[in-house]
Amino acid sequence: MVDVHYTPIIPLLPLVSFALFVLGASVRSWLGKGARLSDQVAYVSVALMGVSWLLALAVAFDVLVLRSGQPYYYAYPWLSVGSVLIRFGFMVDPMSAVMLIVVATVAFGVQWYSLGYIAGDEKQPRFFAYLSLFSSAMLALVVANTLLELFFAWEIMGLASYLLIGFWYEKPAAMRAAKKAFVVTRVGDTFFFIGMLWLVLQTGTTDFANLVLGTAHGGALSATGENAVITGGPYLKALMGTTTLGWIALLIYGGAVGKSAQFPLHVWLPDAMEGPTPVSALIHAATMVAAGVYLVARMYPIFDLAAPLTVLGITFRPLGLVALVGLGTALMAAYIAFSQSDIKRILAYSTISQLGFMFIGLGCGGTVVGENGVRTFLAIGFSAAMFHLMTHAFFKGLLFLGSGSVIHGTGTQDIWKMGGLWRHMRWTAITFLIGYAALAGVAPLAGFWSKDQILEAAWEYNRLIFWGALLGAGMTAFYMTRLWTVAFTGQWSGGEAAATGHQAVGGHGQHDHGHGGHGLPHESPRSMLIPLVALAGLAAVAGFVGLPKANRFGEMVKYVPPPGWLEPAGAVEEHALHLPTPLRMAQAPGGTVPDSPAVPHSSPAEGDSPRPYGAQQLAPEPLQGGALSFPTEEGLPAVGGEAHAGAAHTPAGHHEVDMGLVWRIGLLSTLAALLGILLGASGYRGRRFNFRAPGALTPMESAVYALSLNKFYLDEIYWAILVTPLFWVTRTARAVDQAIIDGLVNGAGLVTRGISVLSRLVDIWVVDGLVNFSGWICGRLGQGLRRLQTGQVQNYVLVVFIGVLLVIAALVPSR
Amino acid sequence: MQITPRDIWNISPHLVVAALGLIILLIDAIWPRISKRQLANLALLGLIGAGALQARFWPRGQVTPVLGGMIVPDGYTAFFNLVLLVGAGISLLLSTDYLEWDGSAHGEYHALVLFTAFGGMVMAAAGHLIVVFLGLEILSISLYILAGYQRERRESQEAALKYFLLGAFASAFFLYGMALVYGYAGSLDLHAIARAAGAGQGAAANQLLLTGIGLLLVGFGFKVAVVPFHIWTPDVYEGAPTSATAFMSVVAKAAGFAAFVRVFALAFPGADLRHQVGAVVASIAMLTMVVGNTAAVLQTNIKRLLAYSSIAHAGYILVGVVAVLRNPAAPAEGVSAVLFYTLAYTFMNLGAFAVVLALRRRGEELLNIEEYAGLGFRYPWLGALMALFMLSLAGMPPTAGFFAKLYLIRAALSPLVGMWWLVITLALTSVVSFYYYIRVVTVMYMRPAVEGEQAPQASAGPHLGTGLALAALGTILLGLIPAGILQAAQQIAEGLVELGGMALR
Repeated sequence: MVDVHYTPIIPLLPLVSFALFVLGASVRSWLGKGARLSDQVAYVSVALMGVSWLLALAVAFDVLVLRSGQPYYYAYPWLSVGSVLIRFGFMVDPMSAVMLIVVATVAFGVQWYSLGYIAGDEKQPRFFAYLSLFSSAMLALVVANTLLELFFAWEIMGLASYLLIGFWYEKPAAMRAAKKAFVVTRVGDTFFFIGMLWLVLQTGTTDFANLVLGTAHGGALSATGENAVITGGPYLKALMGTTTLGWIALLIYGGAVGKSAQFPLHVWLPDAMEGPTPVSALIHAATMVAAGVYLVARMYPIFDLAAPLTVLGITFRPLGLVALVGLGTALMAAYIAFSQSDIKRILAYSTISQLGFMFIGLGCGGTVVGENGVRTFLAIGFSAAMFHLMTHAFFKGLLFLGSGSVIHGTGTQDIWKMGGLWRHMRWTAITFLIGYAALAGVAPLAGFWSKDQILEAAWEYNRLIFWGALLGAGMTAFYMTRLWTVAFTGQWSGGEAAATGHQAVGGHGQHDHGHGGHGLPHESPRSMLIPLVALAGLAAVAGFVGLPKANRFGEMVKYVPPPGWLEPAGAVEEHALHLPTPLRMAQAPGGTVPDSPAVPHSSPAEGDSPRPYGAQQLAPEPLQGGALSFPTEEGLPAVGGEAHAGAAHTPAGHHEVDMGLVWRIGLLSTLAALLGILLGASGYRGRRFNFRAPGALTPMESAVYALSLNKFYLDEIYWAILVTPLFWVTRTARAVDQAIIDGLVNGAGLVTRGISVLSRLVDIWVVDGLVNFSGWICGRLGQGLRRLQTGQVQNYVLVVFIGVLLVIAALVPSR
Repeated sequence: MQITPRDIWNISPHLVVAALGLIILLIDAIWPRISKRQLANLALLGLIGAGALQARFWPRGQVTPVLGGMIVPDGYTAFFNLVLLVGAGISLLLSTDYLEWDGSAHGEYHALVLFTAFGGMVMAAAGHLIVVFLGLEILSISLYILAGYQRERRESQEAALKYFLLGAFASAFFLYGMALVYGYAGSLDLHAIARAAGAGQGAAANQLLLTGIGLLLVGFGFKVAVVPFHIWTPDVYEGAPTSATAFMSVVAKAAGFAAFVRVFALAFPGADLRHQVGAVVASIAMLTMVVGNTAAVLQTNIKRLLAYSSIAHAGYILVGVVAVLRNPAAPAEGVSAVLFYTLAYTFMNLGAFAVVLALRRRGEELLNIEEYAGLGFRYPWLGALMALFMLSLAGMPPTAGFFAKLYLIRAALSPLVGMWWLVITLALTSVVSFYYYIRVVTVMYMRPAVEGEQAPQASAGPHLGTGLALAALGTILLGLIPAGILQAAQQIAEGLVELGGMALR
């Protein structure tokens, strides 16, 4: 029987196919040019991924069903950072199990699809090798048992993503995009790295068994039957309710902002569409970009147990910031998607927008502190975000693969050059339609259920965010309808051949695949369609695991704050006394981890077990503020710790799912979706909206349109405020370095005099000696060393000398 | 002072290396036609022997100074000596093929490498400023000659001369600094200085002492190439024979930091004093990281790129030195971070140079980064290894460079150090560094290869292959299983700190 103990093999198998490729490539280079790696490499890769997929399903099944959510944990000592022992190992809790299913399924589907997509390309083996490397890293990330291991996988994944984006490096744009993606995400990773180190310094552990599960050590996990909820309490005790934890959370969130393309680091993702389309589906829609969401969810106790932070007089809780940035990103990206004409870019902005939704979900969960320091716990946001992550992976993976099929069949990426595909590519169109409807939030497809959960979370947390998110849902429906109507209905407009007046806009006609002139669009090969159909099936039904009345998903994937936390702020200190001291994992070199004092085995939420739905009200008295009040402070949405009055007014006895609320929100979101669809359909049927035609817009309107078309000018702004100055600094540094120097040559006398003012003694002693010495040397140098006689060395000496004076001046107190 | 057999035993690794250098010179003089490859093998053998002798002191070594306090054969010495021996060994492996190709294989090259290593080992073991200076000069003079080793190349001559002129300048400052410190403390023994500086209440305000410390800082700063004493580095790195550049980039840095950290960790114990010196070192570190990393961005020549990169890395290591100086509670953390970083840097930087040394185009060295186009596919192993070294230098997991940076930042993050801006500078400049390291990878993997006569050729003989493999192995192993080395580094660092404490009592 395959059970959880097979976990380590899951990421290993794709790694094996990567290693096979590397070995194969070197064998080939020894054999010479004649020998060629044939397609077999690809089949090996797909087969290994298939096995890995089956194992992932088995492990997930074991954890979710047979062990009913009890995590699997295995680790052995790896290294120590100071007094902190870090163990290398694996952890599969329900959240990881869900991620395993998602990642392995999409990765397998994408590899299968790529068999047809990339067939005949001479770089095919390399493509599969990179894909395998990526899959391996992503799977390892999901089953990592420490933050450090997660970071390792995170970085390798970034590297694989970089290689894949730049796969068609013949296109300079692809190469630039690869580099941009790598460097931009690195900015976030740097924050993540520092946050991780800080966390280690503060808590003495990076182990998820401690930070996440809140157990003393993972080894005994299965024996003691700790339950599956994410809490982390005991180990974070010393930090609970401190701003330190908040800053750590924000730094770690920085990593998520980079990887998950949140404002302001989202700029790399649209450019990453230069990569092959299966890559876009796998990495830049379904898995890697969701890793940021996963990271925040993994580290949820850190985010939740932190105190509100105050920056520039604005108080906010870290999760509130996450929600707010998510909302901003969701709306901005949706707005940009309105005007893009490249099918993949539309989907890319859609992805950014949907990731924003997931962060809204995460941000609208957790604990809020009301007036009087009353803590209220919002249970739903956390699982809603993970739920949306899962459904999004399926339908967005489907949409990207569908767009790949479209590009394959039409030879263009510009939706304005498509049209009428419904007739020509029936299978692609049907599956695309399902994905589109799921994304737009049409009941009962997957996206509807998960989006509604996020909306519910937002409703309970902050009404402004709720209305914003609802607007975002409507916008989503609109831009997807626009895409659908323009590309799939109406008449075929002739592909690349019909390039009339569209060049001005985004579409860099160079298409993915490099096959030449197209006549009518044609359907793609079967190997590409099978994954489409499979994913379409998932996109249609995946939502049923999280129905409001029977939320199997939410019961499994949930976060519960540690005991005592929900008492009024301030009371937590005494209450937490019975918890074990947080722990440096005391260690002797090579020693084992001693068991820390037993963690009380009371399940954190014992007796008052949290429901996946609804706000759990443990506060002694009802919150102030009406349910419909808009708690704002000087116009700012109240993400602040102070004004959460409106966040969760819940009637007494609200431990059951509030079906009334579910219905209301379902209705509202359906209304929004319908509105978006109708607007899009009526506007783009027969291509009535064509804002690009000259004179179609008033100046005011065209400014609004240009904002969307030009992506809020963020690339330009970054270029102006970051890249240009960097290059300026760079040039300056080099100039200073190489030739401070010319100026000094001319001013040598001046400098000498200046120096003599600074230090008469050293002046006489060194400069004179130096000049004499240089003269002596120069006299000896032959014609061959003419360059030296220009005086460069003297000037180097001068630089060193000025440095000496600066050091002395800095060290010695002047009196 | 009496020299006992125990003293000899304690400095046996030093003696073996020095003697071997002399023997090689002799052999080369007596049998000028001997294969230089054999000489290299002999030198390697000697280095391994010295390493074996040195390994007996691993990791705790022996705390009592020998030779009247001149030499301290402790674990710290053992660590750096092993780093230097490994650095010299890999450098020799890398040089052999290159020198044969270049037609400049002479016996003295190997002897000079050994003398340099010897000088570095003396610096690492020195318990007395005079010995530091002695080692510094042995090391430097050998390096001047190595820089000018390709006599027919004008750039090489120029590099040697520049290095020599500026080096002499810096040595003079160092010597002057020693004199001033002597003036204050009445001794050049590190412990005696520590007692004087620790006892004197006004040490932190004593101009004589502070000026002396400042000048010592300049001397070390020059050797390890920190801004603004780095000014020679790009020119010298570019002009020197590539094999010598590889060698000096790691050995001079390791030796410089070995003496730097020991002197500054032991000789100036007063908290105020350390705080003050730490602030200056921190400023230098920041400046070095910024200038090194930004100036590297625009380089087109791989040797110059690595030169600026080495400056940047010196800046990172200085952050560790700041942690040593400004964290009185746990200076060992900073010391161990520096130790680990030096070792990691030795492997990854030598590895990067090994790839450079392996590449040619039409009888020329391949130095222009643009010419690396398509290398990743033409030579999968070389390309992959170069990518590994670049990513390790940039600090990507799972490589040595990642843990090296992790430990540095961790040491500097301690609230006692209180230098957030330094850590932030380190982090931000590391992001900048990704830009230029990844550019090399991008060129190798994302530019079509040049075919035909212009295509780059790789020629890796057995020696170079071995060196490359060792460097790669070190880079990977330190990234995957750093635990053993880390623990040793920690013990060693604690030993050094204890030593400082003992001296004060």
